[in-house]
Amino acid sequence: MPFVFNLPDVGEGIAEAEIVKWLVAVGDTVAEDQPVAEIETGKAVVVMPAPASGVVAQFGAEEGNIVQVGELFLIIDDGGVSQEQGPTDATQSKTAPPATAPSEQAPPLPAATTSEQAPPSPAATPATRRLARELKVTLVDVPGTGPGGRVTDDDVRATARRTAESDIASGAKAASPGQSHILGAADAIAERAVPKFGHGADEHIPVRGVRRRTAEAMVQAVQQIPATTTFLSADVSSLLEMRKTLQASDVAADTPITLTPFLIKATALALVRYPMANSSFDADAKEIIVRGRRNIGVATNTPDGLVIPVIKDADQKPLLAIARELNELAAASRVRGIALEDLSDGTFTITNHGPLGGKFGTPIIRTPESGILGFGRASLEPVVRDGEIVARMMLPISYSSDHRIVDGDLAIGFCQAVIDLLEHPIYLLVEGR
Amino acid sequence: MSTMTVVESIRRTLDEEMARDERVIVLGEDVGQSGGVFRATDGLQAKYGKSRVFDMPVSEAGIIGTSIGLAASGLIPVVEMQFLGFTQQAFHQVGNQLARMRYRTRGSLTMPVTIRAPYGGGVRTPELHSDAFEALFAHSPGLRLIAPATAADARGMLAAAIRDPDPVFMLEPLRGYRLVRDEVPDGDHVVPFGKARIARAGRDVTLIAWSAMVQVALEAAKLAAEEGTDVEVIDLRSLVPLDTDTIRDAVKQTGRVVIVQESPLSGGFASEVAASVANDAFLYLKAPVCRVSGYDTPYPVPHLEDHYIPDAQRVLRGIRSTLNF
Repeated sequence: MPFVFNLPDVGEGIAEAEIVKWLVAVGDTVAEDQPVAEIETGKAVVVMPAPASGVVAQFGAEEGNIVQVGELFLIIDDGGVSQEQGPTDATQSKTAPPATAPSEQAPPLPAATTSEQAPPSPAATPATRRLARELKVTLVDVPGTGPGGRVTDDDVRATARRTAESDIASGAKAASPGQSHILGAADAIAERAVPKFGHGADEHIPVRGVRRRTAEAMVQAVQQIPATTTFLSADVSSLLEMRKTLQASDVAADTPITLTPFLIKATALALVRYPMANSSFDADAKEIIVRGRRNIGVATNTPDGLVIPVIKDADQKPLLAIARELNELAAASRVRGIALEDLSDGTFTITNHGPLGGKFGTPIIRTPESGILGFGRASLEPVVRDGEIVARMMLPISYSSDHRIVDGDLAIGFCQAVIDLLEHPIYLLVEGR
Repeated sequence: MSTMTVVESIRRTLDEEMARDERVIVLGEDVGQSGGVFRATDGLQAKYGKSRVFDMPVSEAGIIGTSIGLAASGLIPVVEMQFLGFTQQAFHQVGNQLARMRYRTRGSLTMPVTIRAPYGGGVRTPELHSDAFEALFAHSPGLRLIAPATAADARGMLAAAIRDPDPVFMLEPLRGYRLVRDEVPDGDHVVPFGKARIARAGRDVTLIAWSAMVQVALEAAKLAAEEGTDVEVIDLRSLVPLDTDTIRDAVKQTGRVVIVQESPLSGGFASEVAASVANDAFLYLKAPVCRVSGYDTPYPVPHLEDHYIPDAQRVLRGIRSTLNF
């Protein structure tokens, strides 16, 4: 019998994955757990193992294409059907409809898991469904005005017209609130038409992988979180002195120490002082979830885009350990080899755009977190100390926070805690563990 | 062209086919001297003799069983069942013998038997005379099942049935025998199986009917037209084989289907038609497929008949519900 393997959720509620590379070919014999493909989930490249032993009968998609969770990923013929029957026959199992189209890419197979994850399909007659399919309108996007809220032909046509006329901004607004976060955001990117000029100079770059995930996450965050940003500066003169001393010492001989480990540690310790800043707003449950751990995500530039490795329990780890872990995770991110678990369970994010030269900015919060700290480039500035103007190294801090949780006093208090820790780096060594 | 009733058309066709092929024989209850309970065989015995037109005992199983033997020995029997309801007596012979003889003999023996049976109510007959159990025979593989609604089709389809090497069950519209009168082509006229007839063109709703219900459907279409609804009427006229192409094309046009049948609702042939619509034209449906039919009860006593048989008003309600879904 052919083993029909639909794409599972490989971690953290992903909805789709891009086939980066098939590691086997149709006709190859594979053993169970043998790597068969590299897939990119928007966060990392993951190697998929074969779910069963047998002969590869069919791929669900070609390299570079995206497969939705629950759709056909791979068919492995485990010997029940002879190989001569070929891939087309393999698809004619009980679980798969017969392939009618000669195209190499098999039609997506409906899977039980899909219906569990997808939003319920709105009521519409089959004829309306056909119209929606023809006009490339997703029914869940269409507000129904028919009897009992049913979607009518006119509703579908109206939506199609709006789609054609709308720009990206109105497109983002139109994503319906009842959908899952990922679907809503994805629709905002994928479904709204952008006017094409056709003068030949445009380049069309498919939005895939990390870029796609980033775009979705940003749209989602901006739509959902009423954010404010607080701007302050910290005097990091002493901190830089301390770092210089550390760098020159044997202690850190094998670990280059940047400013970032200090920022991570300061942030984590400030979150210990202000637990409400380390929380999530659960709108469905009408709850604020105060996180019990200080897991700090660090926005990291990679050739593919933004990746956010997470330093778990940063408040409890020594600075040097944080520095080492950060170096390892950043290196893995750059070659797209980071493990999903190192990208998961973040409770708060920092972004250090200082090395790039930026000063202040408006960082966008990562849902479902409630805050993000952006650190700019430290520079020598005139500062008044005890009535005297002195030159100090000032670090710009931009703190975006979810105003549903974080009011002004908390925002300033938390920032002052961060500043306090950065201005008195000895605390970084004695607080926490 | 000449205008005639359905029963006249059948009588003429039997006459012509007997004249055309001397192997054609007619048998059944009262078909000989009295010319049949509806006079469909009137005059045939006088013309062709008692060896080709003869009366049989009141034993439906015996009549069909005899016909099977006669067919096997080279004759072409045309059987008259006085009422379809009586055929239950012969169901074993029809379903277990006649219908599967060709299959059973690996094609070496065909059964050129035609069974004619008036069916349906509307003329206030006693119990068992009005039953409309066409689905029983549609569900018997090996049997063709035809149900003409007009005199022209009665002639063309009966001729096709008699000339066919396989067994054909022809349902005749009892109520329409003398009520329906239309122009019947002269000369050789054969209507092939498996081809539905568009009885009336229309854009809004497709009505599908057969036999006596075609007249009801046409009447309902007229009433609907007064309300501004343009109703198409398809006369299936051949149930097995079924013209799914015509059904599909019609539904693609209108997106709304009402099927009218006289028999009880559950398991009736309308369900088969509805399934073919769902299968072939699913994405064109604008409303659920509606079935207007008799009820899931035994056929009622005469004074309740009018409530049982779908009439134009009930079909019209079906049309409206489909339109207003």
